[in-house]
Amino acid sequence: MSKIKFTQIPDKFKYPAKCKGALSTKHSEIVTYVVDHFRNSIKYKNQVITALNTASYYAVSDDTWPESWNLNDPFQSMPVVPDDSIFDVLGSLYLNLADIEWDVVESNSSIDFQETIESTSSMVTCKSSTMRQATPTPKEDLYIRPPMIPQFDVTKPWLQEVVNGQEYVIYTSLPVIPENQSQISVTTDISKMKSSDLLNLFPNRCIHTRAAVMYEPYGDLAFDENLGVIFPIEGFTHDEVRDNIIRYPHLYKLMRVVDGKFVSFYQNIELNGELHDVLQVWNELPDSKYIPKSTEYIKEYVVRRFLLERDKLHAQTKWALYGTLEPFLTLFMESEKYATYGYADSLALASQCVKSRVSYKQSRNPILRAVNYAK
Amino acid sequence: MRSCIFSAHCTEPVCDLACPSLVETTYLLERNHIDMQNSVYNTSRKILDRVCEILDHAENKLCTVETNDTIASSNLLTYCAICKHWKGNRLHCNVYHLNFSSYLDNIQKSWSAKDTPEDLEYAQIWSSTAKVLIISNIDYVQFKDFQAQTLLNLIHNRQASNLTTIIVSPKVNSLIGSGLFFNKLQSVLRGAVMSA
Repeated sequence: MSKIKFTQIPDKFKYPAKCKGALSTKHSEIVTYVVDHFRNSIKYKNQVITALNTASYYAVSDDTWPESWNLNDPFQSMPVVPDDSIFDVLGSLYLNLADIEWDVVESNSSIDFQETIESTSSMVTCKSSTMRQATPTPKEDLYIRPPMIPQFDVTKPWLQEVVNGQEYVIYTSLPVIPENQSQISVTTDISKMKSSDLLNLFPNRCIHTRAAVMYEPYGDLAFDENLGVIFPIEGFTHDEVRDNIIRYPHLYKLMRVVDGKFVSFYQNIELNGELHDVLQVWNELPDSKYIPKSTEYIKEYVVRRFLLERDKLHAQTKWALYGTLEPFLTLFMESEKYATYGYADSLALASQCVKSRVSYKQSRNPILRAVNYAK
Repeated sequence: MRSCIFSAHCTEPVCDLACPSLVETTYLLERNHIDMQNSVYNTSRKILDRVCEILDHAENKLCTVETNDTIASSNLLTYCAICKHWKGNRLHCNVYHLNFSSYLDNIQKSWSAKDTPEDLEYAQIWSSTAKVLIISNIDYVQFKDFQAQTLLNLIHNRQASNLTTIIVSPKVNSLIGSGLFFNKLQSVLRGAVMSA
């Protein structure tokens, strides 16, 4: 793709005929906003590219436009669609940073963001001439998967063991005091964290952590602008399901062990002590007539029903979840918003988040499991 | 044994020391001589963000990064590039850190050898094909026509293939050399100095 001037995207981008009008209008709104708020940093530009690609994704895939996404402020409630999915749908329409010629200048309304490469005695660093405006928390800060660039202290092995003749080492991850949720690892020690460190883990905006389709109203199903669709689960009240979404907003790669093998948790559902293929019994489930039969809804239904039965009914299951899954593993909105949902003790929430993350990772970490198994 | 850089965050079902994350990152780290004692594993987030910005900015083009400590900076750029590009490399050297002064020494030594040394052949292959090439130690070179031409050729060939090339250098004006090709080289490097 040859370079395209940013301000000319709505006119010059090669839109597919079927959605040319609608998509160019969406892009135009994003361009207008960016021209007024432009900041000359790679991070900001990447955010712009993500917004453009996400808009293209909804148009090209014929997916319903998320009502909560207002292009007057496109980064505020931008839905989170995995980049892989966007790329799969868009193919050659996918925009990269290198495809754009940024014919815009920093607006007066934005905070000065001059950075220079400062030569120091040790390495490349950056210097801000003025205080940076608080940038919206990137969704990467909430990831459960490892940070893209892992950091650790090789002088401080947290675990060093020989198992079956093989030496395993886990070094203390850095920073020792996590600056965001994704930096919490098996080695994180909550006792070293001050209250301010804990409170720092809250994002400064509401980040959509469920599948994108969950943030689009569906039929008569209850809907909350921060939480998304709240579907019914027989035996539990609306408030209980809503609370379950607040406590477990992000369900990531959950597994269970069946016949000694790891299988995706969502693949099966346990009913009366028997494990069934969820697709085979879906139509017989009492809630299936209200809930769309789509992958994301079925996945969430299976897990939320399990969690509610576990937490509320204290039901024992034969095929339980592999590893722990404790509440508030992901803090997805500002502490003030949690308070409006009845969770006013921010410190307790942040503390629970750290404990849940450490437990989540320790209970799944293959080295720790191997070491514990060998003992 | 090299430890896995992801071990404190890993949630894979089993660690058989052969999963793609470990094998592919280990391969690239070893190729680029980044051992476990390297300081790249202990860097502030602010600096890491800045290095990632440089890598994003440099994508598919030439970029000159001016810094006093070229060794530490080039190692850090290499580590971050590995972390960004290891996935799916299928044991191809898609991130390569070229020590330019050693590379020139090896070329000159090869002139009197019967066959091209294997190390030099690999360095030539990886320098021309790596998705991201970081070139350091140009401040240890006295540039005459041959040295300047070698670097200009490398830069030109990679630009023609839209590959990322990052030159880590002290202030371009402080490089040592003479001749028309050296002037041309300085002009090319100066034109690609990274500015935010």
